[in-house]
Amino acid sequence: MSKNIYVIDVLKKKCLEVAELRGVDGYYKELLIVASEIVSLERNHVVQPGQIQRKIADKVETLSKTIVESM
Amino acid sequence: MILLKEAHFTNFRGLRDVSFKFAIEGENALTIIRAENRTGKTTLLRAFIWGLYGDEGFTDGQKPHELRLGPADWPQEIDNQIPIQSNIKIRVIDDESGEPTDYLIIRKRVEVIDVNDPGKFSVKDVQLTVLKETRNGSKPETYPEILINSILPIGLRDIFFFDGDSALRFTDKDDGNKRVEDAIKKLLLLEILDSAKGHLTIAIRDIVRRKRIESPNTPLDELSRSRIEYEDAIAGIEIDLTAERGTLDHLKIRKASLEKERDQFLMSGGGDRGKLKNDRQAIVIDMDRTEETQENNVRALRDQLNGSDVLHQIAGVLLKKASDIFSKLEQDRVIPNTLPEIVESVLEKRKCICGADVSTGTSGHEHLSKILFDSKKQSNGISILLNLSQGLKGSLRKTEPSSTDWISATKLNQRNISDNRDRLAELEKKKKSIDEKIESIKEGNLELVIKQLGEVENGIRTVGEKIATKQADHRHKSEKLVIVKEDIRKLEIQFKKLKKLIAEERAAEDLLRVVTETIGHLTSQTVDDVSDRVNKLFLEINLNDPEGQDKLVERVSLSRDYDLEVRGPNGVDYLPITYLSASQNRALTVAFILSLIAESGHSAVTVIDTPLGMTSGALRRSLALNTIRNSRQLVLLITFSEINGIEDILDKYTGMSYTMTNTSHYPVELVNKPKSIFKEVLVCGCSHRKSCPICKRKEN
Repeated sequence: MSKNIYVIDVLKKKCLEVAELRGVDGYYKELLIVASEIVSLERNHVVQPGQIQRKIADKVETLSKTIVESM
Repeated sequence: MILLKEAHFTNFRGLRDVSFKFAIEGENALTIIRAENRTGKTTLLRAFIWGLYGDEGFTDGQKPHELRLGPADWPQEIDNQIPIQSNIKIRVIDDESGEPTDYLIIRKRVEVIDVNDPGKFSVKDVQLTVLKETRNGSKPETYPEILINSILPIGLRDIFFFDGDSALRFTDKDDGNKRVEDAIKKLLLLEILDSAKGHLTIAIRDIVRRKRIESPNTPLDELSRSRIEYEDAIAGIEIDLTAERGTLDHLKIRKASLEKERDQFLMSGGGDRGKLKNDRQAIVIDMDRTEETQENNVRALRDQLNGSDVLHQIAGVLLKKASDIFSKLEQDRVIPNTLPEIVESVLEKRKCICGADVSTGTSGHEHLSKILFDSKKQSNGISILLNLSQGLKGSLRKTEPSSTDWISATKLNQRNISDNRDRLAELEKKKKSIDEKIESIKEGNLELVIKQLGEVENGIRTVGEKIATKQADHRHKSEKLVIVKEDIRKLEIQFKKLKKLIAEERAAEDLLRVVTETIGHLTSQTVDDVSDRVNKLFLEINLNDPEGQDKLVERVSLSRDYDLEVRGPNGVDYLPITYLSASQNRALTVAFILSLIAESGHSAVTVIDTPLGMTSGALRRSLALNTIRNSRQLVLLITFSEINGIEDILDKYTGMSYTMTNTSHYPVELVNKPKSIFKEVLVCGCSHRKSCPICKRKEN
């Protein structure tokens, strides 16, 4: 797939800014992975709309584990 | 990166059996398909569109299945079934790894002609197959439509399969800015990001609801209820706003159409009337620009007044004093009061720290209970002090004073707002005076058009006011929501079992922020970057245009509202469609499309039908050269006359050449009688400098 590198670059920059505010170790990498996966999911949705919502909730839960560890 | 490798079409109109291989490598990734007018260039473009998108690809008013694709002179008396097929092979190269994958897209359908009424037909056996080609053979894709849409979304059809003769549709504003806006939104993935934003918003609301269940009948429950109410109200306002904006867009398109009608009437009158039209247009453009500047100024002033600097300007010294007092209370251990928790713990264990028994009924228990009661009484006041102390510290921590001179910047903004207001009033007065003159012309249809225009303008004003009211309500509720969320955060710290949900909420909010800010960047900074690139490319193409020297262009730009604008001499802005020549409009559209593709990094093949029509001389050369240099892979469907003057450029860059010939052009235009008895397109490998017995044409 063409990943549209420009948009991914902007996404990376924004992940870095948000992760810095959160101040959790290793968070930037996790945030970027999950954000990219969500964009990819929206772009190539081979699932029903309800399933997308569920899959996004799963991605959020995955990311939250890094935050729980730091709390 | 998406490249076109091969294509084969069977029985698609005159394309009864034609094949092409396309140049894909490096500097010479240019394929020239030469064809005289009425040969089948546009049919070939449509064949590509059908092959990739099926009936949905056609948006020219024909409903799917109503459009007959088979050859018009099909011998139905022999066979009333026309098997139509398109095979398109594309190469997808992974942007990061550089790994190529080839896909063969096969689309088929059979048209059955009604034997009693040849004008009617039905469609059967519609099939789409996408084969992924690997070293071990071909493997069919499970979801072919989804795969195609993810590689070359249908929304980008007009960008990658572009008809030069319809180039003006990007600049004529007949449909507002929709075409330009659609292209930007698709190429920058804005629709996808908007969808992600919607899903994340829903995810957050779901987490908030789950949090409420975890913490019933507490202040947190109450606050969470408020939060949901605010969020529901905000979502409702957003739905209303979307509907109102739709109405506004519709009215604006209607207004543009009526204005066009009015302007055409005035231009047809010539002389003073033409001047009235031009003067009015210049004022309207000036007003738009001034209003835009005014909006930016008001926004900046609002930010200045809402920003943290204002706190330091007004109460910095007093807050510092209060903070020092609280610090002293903490030093003296007045706050926080930990006594009640300690006493409660002792009573629970029924054993004092000194070892004495403090079970119920003992004097120790009675003594400690009294201490607990008194301490709790004090505790309310102390906890208020503690909250104030923490709130104050938090506020001071968040609001470091900035180094800029806040007072001077705020004063400057206020002055600008006042100046702009005066300027707008002056322009409004001038516009009114011109409108009165126009209204006094009681001829033809003009009176009716003016009347309708007035009604539409009233409608725009009313809807605009509704939108402004709703936006204010949205702003107000959003501010309240921020406060409620902050209160919830403070309370949540007390509920450890909510830890997991709190973490989920924070994760979802971070993701939402990332997506929202990415959208913000793409719709502002990136659009400005595209604008700069369009300007550079257009001026480079236009520099060599002798006609362009009569109509000087200082700058072209793309506004954040997706307007393509032209700045002429003395800084006056014009609409491209009224100021530029047809060939310049074509050049502007090409510059816009190529700039957008380059800026978005979405590299793919561009197929252009009649790329250089209406151009000549130096502009044609410049347009050809810039189009080739700024495309990763280019397929040009080009007429013999368009080739005039650019032969040397094609010599240098062309990787593959074809000539298409229509058998129906014999005997008037073709030298040799074709072997085929049907009206069909024949393809030979002749380049722009050669001809063969199939394609040899008579000299005029």
